Amino acid sequence: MIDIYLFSKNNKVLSFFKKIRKSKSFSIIIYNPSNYKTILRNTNQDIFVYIDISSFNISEQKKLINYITRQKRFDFGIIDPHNNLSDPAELFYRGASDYIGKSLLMNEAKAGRIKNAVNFYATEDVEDQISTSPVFDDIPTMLSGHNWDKIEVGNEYTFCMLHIEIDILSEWEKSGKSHIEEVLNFFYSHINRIIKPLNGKLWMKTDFGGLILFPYDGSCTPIIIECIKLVMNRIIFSAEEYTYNTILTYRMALDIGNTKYLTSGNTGNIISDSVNFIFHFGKQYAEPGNFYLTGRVKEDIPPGLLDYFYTTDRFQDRTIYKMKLPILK
Amino acid sequence: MQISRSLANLCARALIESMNVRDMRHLVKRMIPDYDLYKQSGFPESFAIPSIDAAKQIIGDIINHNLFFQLIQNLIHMNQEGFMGEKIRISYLNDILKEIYNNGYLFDSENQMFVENPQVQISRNWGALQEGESYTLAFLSIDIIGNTKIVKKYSKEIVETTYTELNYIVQNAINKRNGRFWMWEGDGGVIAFFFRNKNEDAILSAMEIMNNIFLYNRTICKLTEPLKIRISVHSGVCEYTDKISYFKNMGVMKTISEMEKNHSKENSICISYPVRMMLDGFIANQFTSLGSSSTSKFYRYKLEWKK
Repeated sequence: MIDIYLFSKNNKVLSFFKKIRKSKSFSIIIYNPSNYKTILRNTNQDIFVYIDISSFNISEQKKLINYITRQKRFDFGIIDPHNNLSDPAELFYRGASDYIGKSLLMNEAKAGRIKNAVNFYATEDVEDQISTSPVFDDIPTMLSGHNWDKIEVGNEYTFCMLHIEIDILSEWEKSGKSHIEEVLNFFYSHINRIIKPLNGKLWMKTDFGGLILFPYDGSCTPIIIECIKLVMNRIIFSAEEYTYNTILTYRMALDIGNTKYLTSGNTGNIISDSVNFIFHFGKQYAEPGNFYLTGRVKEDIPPGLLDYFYTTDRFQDRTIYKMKLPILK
Repeated sequence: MQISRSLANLCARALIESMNVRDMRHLVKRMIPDYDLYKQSGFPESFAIPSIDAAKQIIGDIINHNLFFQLIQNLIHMNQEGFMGEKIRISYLNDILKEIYNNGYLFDSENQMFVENPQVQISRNWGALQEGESYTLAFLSIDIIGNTKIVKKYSKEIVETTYTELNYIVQNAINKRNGRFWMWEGDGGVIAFFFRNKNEDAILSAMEIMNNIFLYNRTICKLTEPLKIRISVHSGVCEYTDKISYFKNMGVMKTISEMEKNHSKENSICISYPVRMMLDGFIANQFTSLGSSSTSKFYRYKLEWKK
């Protein structure tokens, strides 16, 4: 039986699927369209998604289509009861398996059609996809999901990798090891609180910070937003997380890359170009107080925030983007 | 807080085991100056009132006068500082505090008063401020610029969603700093801060709201233009009242209205001199004076970006 998630509250759409709901070949679960991100983010099952765009305004429809066409974990069809989309064929170029417009909704859905849609890409399991569907030019993607449930020690996955370090003030350099340890305790406690809701793990520690792994399900947007907040909220966290009455800053470098996953503390023998790169990127390239990301991460910057990033010097033959900084006095 | 019989009994035992009847009478007179234990208990004045009767009578009267927290605050003070020049150890004090904590209240040692535990309940007066009493508070005032235009231009659903999201952003920033909504009128309101470093809490809340509105406008805002807000922060002495119309006419509110009218600007935070005085240097430095720096009464911060 195929699980179909139907996101709609439109009566015409619900009647269209009436027969299918009784079919033994499909199990249809109906959701409120406005919850689509929450529902889809939390699913790891093999599903097919139909989403009705009539519950959204034009700009929300664009965002929805951008979101859904970026997902690699499931196939999907778009329902357009008012024929709002001027070029439905474009959906297929972007990975859709079905388009249901106004005229089709006059009748009831036939099981054969839905089966064709579900089999349109003859979707392989994510596991099979892993070795065959490169998202980026230089690395194949092996989606690790949105949490750690399916990540097994010893296997290789694609992760969102954040190298982050606190910028040590010059006057601290003379104040001894115990003072630096105290600073780092504040830092790790702050960072752990930030990354926990995003399912991030501090994987390897460095002298003044570390490398954080986030499971990668096809989008780094929430991680980018949190990094932007860390740049914007420097005064806030300096006042509330630390006790030094001065502005503290973090340097951050973000990339998407592959590595075998081993538990923290057992990572000494890992051979991974991505891990090498992120360490070089964070240690050699990133400057104090700045946030950098690579071209492949840039794709996930929300469009409204693209203006706050600009290209800077290439590093190891990759395009690098740097975030503008808020002015501090 | 509803005082249970067991907590009242525990307090009576604390009085009996920690002091004599004469000290109990002195203690209660600190809270009720004209208190007459003989009159209250019905014992003739020629009798020495037994400790147990005196303690039970006093605790009952204190609860009836709604002064229970003040009694415990006095006991804590006596335990720390002594009583009438003598050291005194109050029995069962930790047990009493534990019982009060279980009822959702914490002792705030800085202000020497009981306040509600924000993880258990959130009320307008933190469960501590008394109607008609004066306190020093910091106030954050926020409002949407162009509210009327927004209401006219967009559907009811979009306006409601946007204003609910603004309320959520504000609530998220103030809750973690123990701020309380004292007024909320859909397109903005006034938030009060009383504990810890209230001025800094109000300023950091304001900065977080400003930063989050910046991100909100560029990610999920449903309006076709950015939502514009202005924030003012001022602190001063204010009489606590539940009556919003009375509160609106107080001096601190008049200053806030003046700041909003004459000094606050779009997407910026305007603060008054008393607030700036109380900030750490690196936070205060972010605010530039309006007018001559030596005579300025108001300062402003705006989120600006390097080019």
